[in-house]
Amino acid sequence: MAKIVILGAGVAGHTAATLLRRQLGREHDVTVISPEAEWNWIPSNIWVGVGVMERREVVFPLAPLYAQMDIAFRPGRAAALFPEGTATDSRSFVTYLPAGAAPGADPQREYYDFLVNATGPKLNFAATKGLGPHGGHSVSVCTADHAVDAARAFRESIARLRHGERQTFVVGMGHGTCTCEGAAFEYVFNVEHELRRHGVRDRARVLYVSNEPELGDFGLGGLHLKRGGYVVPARLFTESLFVERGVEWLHRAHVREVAAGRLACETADGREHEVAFDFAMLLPPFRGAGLAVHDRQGADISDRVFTPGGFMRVDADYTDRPFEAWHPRDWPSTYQSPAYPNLFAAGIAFAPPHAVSRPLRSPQGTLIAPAVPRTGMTAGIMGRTVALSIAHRVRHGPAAPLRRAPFATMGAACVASAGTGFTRGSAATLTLYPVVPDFDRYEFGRDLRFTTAEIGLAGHWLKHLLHHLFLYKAKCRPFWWLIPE
Amino acid sequence: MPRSPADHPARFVSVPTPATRWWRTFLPYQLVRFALINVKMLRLLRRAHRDTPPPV
Ligand SMILES: Cc1cc2nc3c(=O)[nH]c(=O)nc-3n(C[C@H](O)[C@H](O)[C@H](O)COP(=O)(O)OP(=O)(O)OC[C@H]3O[C@@H](n4cnc5c(N)ncnc54)[C@H](O)[C@@H]3O)c2cc1C
Repeated sequence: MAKIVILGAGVAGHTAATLLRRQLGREHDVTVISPEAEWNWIPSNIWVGVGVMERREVVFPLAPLYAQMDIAFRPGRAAALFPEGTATDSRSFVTYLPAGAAPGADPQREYYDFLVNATGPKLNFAATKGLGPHGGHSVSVCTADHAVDAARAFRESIARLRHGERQTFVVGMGHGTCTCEGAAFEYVFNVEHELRRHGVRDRARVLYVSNEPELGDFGLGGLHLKRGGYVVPARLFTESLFVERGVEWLHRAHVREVAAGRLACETADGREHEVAFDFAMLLPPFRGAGLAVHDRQGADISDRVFTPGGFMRVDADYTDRPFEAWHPRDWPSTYQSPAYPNLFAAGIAFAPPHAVSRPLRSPQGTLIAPAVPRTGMTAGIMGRTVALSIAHRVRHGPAAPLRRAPFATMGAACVASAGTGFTRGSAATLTLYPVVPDFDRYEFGRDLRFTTAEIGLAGHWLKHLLHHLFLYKAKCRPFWWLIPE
Repeated sequence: MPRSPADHPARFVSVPTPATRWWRTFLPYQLVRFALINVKMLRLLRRAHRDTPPPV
């Protein structure tokens, strides 16, 4: 009998857990440790955050599903890994603090033969003074609860607009090293769309603040498209959408501080900006979960397994090199820890070897560098790859080959909502291949036959369809496994 | 021109024509686009799958 422990029940962890359960007989044990009692389809938090979708439509409870699937569920937060066990017990284990445990309570142990770290991002609001909903001055849509709070604040602003007041809405990235620009992009256009729908757009100023070197960079170094006999940067279409919808922007920006109704930021050209706002939705930068790792003697060996940012080192090339010297082959493909062969990472939890978007530094020395987005599709593929590798090793022994899904050559399909409504909605649909540009193979870094973008109502229908499809899959309804990640 | 400071890059940006905007919400055309986007995504999945190296 093998015991597999999965840390995190998000896109990657839940994919890995459900697939492992499907792959392995009941004599093997699949356990999930995760602090949240519910699964959340995070992409639809955007719609919750503007009040067009209810919280209950984007979450469902995990415990009944896991009970039905014969997956052991331990609600709690993993704290430390002991991959070599202790001096007296050589079994690998992880400690976790059960949800609702009193402060100072003893952590619990969970032994494992294989462990998947799918703890996703730690939302690092503390990186920027005054950022975030926990005692800060901005809202967020990163969790379903954050999105509910954002919707409440948004409704209040709409009420003020209705009373004839003017309001400034700021949406974007709350720090120079944020990732997930696509989510802020979606939110700003949903805000703009809702303001129009409520008939109050004329009294609202909407400003997008981003760390991207250009609009349309998305942390992916931008992309090129074939249009009208030209190869054009996606920046052209992104800027066009901003202008068309009257959304102003401030790019190459690092937000230094958020105070009540005002934020301070600097841009890569060294200029300082102060922006007054009535409503601000700013995403935080991400860190890894920050698990500690101890060897058999109890010594802290966290830096062997994790980067200083708390992300897990996997089979990537982490050699420190200048930006110009990176190559797609630096990126991982098996997501196995080089330190311990029974340890894997999937989703945002793995440490990217370098940025894809060119990092900028302001004259004051501030780093303004979007991190690579690790989207739901890539997180799901990693979860699947790791699950299949582990299942294979459980069946055929520790020398069995590992599945590979190179991050660099994954494709990405993104549907970025720009407003809802069956006949009036719109979304930008983007396909790109490969995720990490490869200038040896393709003149513009990507295969232009598979790198496309368009905006329209069809994209909105697709986004809605994906919402239902992925919730269906996550709930393991009949034939769920046929739905690709 | 949407409101932007005079030196803002929005002054030098391409904008869609009314026809382009009309097509974006014209139902029959969007139904066709919907089908085509799905095909594009399936092609993308196939393309990415082709590059998947064998297990190691
Ligand atoms: C607002 C928003 C919109 C987005 N929209 C899109 C989109 O349209 N398309 C797209 O592809 N991607 C989108 N993304 C990105 C997508 O949500 C992520 O790529 C995906 O969720 C990553 O999956 P993950 O499993 O790595 O992390 P998560 O889904 O965040 O899961 C992490 C899990 O780990 C748990 N956890 C955390 N710490 C611990 C711990 N110490 N111990 C145990 N468990 C722990 C968490 O509770 C959670 O269950 C969006 C992201 C945001 C924030």
